[in-house]
Amino acid sequence: MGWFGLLKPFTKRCYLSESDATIIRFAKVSYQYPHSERFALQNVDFSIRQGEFIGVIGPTGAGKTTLCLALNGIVPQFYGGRFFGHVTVAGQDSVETPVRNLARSVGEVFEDPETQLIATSVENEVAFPLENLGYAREVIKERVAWALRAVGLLGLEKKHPGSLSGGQKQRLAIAAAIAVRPKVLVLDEPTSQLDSLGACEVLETLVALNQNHGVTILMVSHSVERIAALASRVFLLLDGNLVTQGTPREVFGQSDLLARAGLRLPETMEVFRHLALRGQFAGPLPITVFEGQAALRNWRLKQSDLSSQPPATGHSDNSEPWIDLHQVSFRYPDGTQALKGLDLQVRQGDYLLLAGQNGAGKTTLVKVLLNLVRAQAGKVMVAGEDIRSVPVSTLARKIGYVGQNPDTQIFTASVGEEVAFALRTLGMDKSEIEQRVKPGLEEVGLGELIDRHPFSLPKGDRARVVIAAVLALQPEVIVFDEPTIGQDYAGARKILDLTKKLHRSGKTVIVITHHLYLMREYAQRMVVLNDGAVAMDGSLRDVLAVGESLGRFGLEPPEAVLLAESVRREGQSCPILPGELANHLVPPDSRTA
Amino acid sequence: MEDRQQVPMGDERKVVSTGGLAIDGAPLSYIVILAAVVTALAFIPFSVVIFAGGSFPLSQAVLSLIGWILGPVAGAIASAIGTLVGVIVAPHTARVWIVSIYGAAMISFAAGTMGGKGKRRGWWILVAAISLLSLAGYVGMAILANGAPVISVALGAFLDWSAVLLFILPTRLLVVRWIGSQNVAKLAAGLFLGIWITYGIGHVCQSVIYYWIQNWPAEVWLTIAPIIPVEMMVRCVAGTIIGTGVITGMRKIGLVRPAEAVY
Amino acid sequence: MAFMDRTVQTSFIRDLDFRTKLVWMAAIMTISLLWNAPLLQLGLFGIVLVLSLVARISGRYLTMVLGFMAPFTVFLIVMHGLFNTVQVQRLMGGAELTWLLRFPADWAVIGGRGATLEGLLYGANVALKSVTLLLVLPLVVLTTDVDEMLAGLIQMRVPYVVAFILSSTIRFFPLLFSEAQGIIDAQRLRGLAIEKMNFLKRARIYAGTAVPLILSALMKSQQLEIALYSKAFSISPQRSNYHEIKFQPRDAIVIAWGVGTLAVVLYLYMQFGIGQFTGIW
Repeated sequence: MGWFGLLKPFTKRCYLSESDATIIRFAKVSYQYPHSERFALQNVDFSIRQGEFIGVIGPTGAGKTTLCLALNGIVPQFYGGRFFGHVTVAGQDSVETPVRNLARSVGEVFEDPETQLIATSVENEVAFPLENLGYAREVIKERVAWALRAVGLLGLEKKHPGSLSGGQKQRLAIAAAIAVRPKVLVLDEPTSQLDSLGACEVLETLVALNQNHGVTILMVSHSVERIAALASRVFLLLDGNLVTQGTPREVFGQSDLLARAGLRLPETMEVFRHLALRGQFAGPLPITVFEGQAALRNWRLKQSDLSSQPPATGHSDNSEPWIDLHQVSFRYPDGTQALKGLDLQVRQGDYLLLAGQNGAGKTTLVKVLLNLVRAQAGKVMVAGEDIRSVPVSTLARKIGYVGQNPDTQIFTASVGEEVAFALRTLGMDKSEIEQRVKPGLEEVGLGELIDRHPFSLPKGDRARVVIAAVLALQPEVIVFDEPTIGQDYAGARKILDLTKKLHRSGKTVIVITHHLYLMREYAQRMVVLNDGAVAMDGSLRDVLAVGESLGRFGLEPPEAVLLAESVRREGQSCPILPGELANHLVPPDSRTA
Repeated sequence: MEDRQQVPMGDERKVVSTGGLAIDGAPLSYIVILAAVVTALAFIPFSVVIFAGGSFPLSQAVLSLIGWILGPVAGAIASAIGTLVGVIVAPHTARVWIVSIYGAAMISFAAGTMGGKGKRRGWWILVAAISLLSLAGYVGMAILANGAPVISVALGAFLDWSAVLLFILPTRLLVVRWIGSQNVAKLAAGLFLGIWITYGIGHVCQSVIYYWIQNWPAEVWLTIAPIIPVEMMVRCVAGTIIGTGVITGMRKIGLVRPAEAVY
Repeated sequence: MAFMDRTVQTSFIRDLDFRTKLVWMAAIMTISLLWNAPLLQLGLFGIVLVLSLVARISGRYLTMVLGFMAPFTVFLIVMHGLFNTVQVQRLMGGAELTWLLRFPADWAVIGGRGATLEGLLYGANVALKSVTLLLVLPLVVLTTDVDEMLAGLIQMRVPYVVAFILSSTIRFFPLLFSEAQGIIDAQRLRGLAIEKMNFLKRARIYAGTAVPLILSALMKSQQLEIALYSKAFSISPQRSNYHEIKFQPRDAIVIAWGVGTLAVVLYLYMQFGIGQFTGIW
């Protein structure tokens, strides 16, 4: 049922308790980290009532994480620094109450599933905070079962956390956080590293906790659509200031403010904003796709052929494929059949979006393509050559790979050295290397950081160091594996703009991502993998136009597509961008064709 | 975006920082992570062990570094537990598991005591005493019980006696000074020499036990004489590469420096 | 890694308390270290092997371990057989050795040397001792759940923080191991032809892998610490334990049996020299 089923019944956000019980109070809170001149939080002031579901949005560096850590006392007790004002959670002051005691009232879930899971098994992870607080064994047993049932992980008690999927890991983190039955659950980007299905599992759990158990939730997220659908109130942070708060409609209605913050509107709202500006829509703007679909009842789409509009395929279909996978099958030693007779061709100059849920075979496909693993059946040809006899290092000069985790692709002590690494493997001499390093870094906007240690840079910059280093080999094809994960909207666009630049310079680009909404201005072609084979392959427009049916592949189509789908008739082209959709929508009383 | 820094309106609070969870001044999280590193590297074979076949794992090249980063107590704990987990996961990779763990702990402990300050200034004496006793037992058994010629034993145990000697002499202070230097060449030299010394101490502490168990005859001493230093050079080179990269990286990234660290 | 999700096979040994197994392991190791009689060592090795089979440790694993040790054991036997005359003779009170093979005295280097029966037997003793000491650990570790191991350590008053570090290491090392593999793959994908390199260059590359692994792991450690704080962790001993192991009556019997066996062995060794090296026995 996935994401869409989640949204449908969530039509009314109500507090479980109608009382005025304030559970969290932030009173003129300012905070300065040690050795920092800037304030990470500035005069933040708000109250949260029991049972609310608060969404927190803001660009990177706005203070969202600091806000989360202030709720359980880690700011300032762990970091030190200067703290002003009062934070009271469930009647406890966060500066005077030890963090250990605050942990009874506030559960925290962090972005990275790996570093917050500490135990050797699922049940031990949930038991851990209870042991730390001295609960009796019988109580621990009961709470472990309760928490695992609440998050849907019953039956997996003995599993090692490392063997769980991303969504399961985050649900386990939630289970550990709620085991002490806290009044408040704070989640800092809990779904940013997950695919759509994993995110959906986590969000369903949160909704259930909020609605069925009355847990107050504060969730930071870059996904404005999810915040719009789930939150009872939204906080917008900018440069440490709480610049606005209110219902999702109130906050997202301030489009100028959001634009200044580098944030986007929920896509449905974006569509209706366009319509409102044209005078075609009056009244409160729908903010969820279901509200949007309801508002578009009796609307229709203009007859228009959008097939020639970008993104269209930019190459001749008659050109020889540069990458040709024919009936490729691969099975892992544990018996998992990851690829089953897969056929895929990529031509020079393609910009391909490769999508599919976890387990569909994307990672294995890339490993086979890079010759990191050998397919047991089928043929893989690159530039007309069977890659079976080509060493990985040689193939890397044709196909560059930028992995999801930049930290496993950084090997040297300076940014310049990182780029020079690949140039050295090409056999260049010192002077030639020196001439090529700086321009290579300038291409990705890192020219000034040549002597910096890569690990001293923020994550987004580390990713760009890796891109520069891979590009040094001047590969014909570049594969980007989940390049937008963990990035805010502006950061994601920066990286994708770089891919566009590469594509325009003649490179073939393959991007693997589940953030389909981001790719509409970049990719020309979309391939969906499912169960080890290609399930769909066509222009991005044609594949996205399938709409809600993409859900069966674990994919979340952009809201503009879902809205278009609700009004589209058979044979009509499908607008896929918010502005494009707004241009093609015809109100019920209009006589235009 | 304009700078929106404001004057705080709330009362300034008295913040008592708990700091981090620590053992002997080393963050607990560092100890956990480095123990896990030792275990993970235990499964990456680095070189062929010429004497008696097999290979030695990459973890052996980082045990001294762990002592220099975490200090003697925390370093010994991290190395011992990392080795223990390696032995739990793959019991067949340890010769005598308890001796492997003891050796790993001694290497890190010895490394950590080299930079002892204040009350810990004399901790190196404990290490020196243990290693001297071990050396005496080792060569004593060989010469007195097994009739091995003194010259053969001297050559075969070159790593052991040279390490103990260099540890007792002020060379260990020179090593600490070099490791603390910002000059990369000195850092590398300090690491190389320091690994020879600390691994040698760990080696002699283990060897006295292994020798008691396996009791190799006199002739073997001459066989191992050229082999062990060669293996040790490989370890020193590997450890120097790793140590130089890690220490310069930790400085440049600005990672928290444990209280007892020597770098 | 497979160890993490392994299922400990049911058996009498599996059902024993972890501490009982530790007592037996200590007893077997002590006996093995004490004895130098090859036949007795062989018997002890046989007992450990049988116990391993009773404990349902996989035959494939045992074959792998024994195969792994085979070159070393052969080396030990040959080394002692060919070279160990002084010590063996001393252990036998100066008795004449039985030469199985002796090179002519006028041969250079190896002249006058050869293989003695007693040397080979002593070598066999050392080899069997080494293998027994190695095999006794899996007998404990592979028959005990990780949770029971940790609970056992805590109940033996090992400081909780040590058990915590042990548990966390078991949790995190698979992640770091796969990151190390990822780093090596990433270097190959950056054009580094590791497979074509000589041993020294390859060693340098592997060593270099440890640097980013350690640095990125240390960078993540602060997040780990924050997560620990958020879960109310402290080094204080005021905490409870979810898992618990309890002695059963059979544990008392088995411990008594183990301690008793050790006592008898020590007595026989000291009183009658049973277990000392005297040639065949």
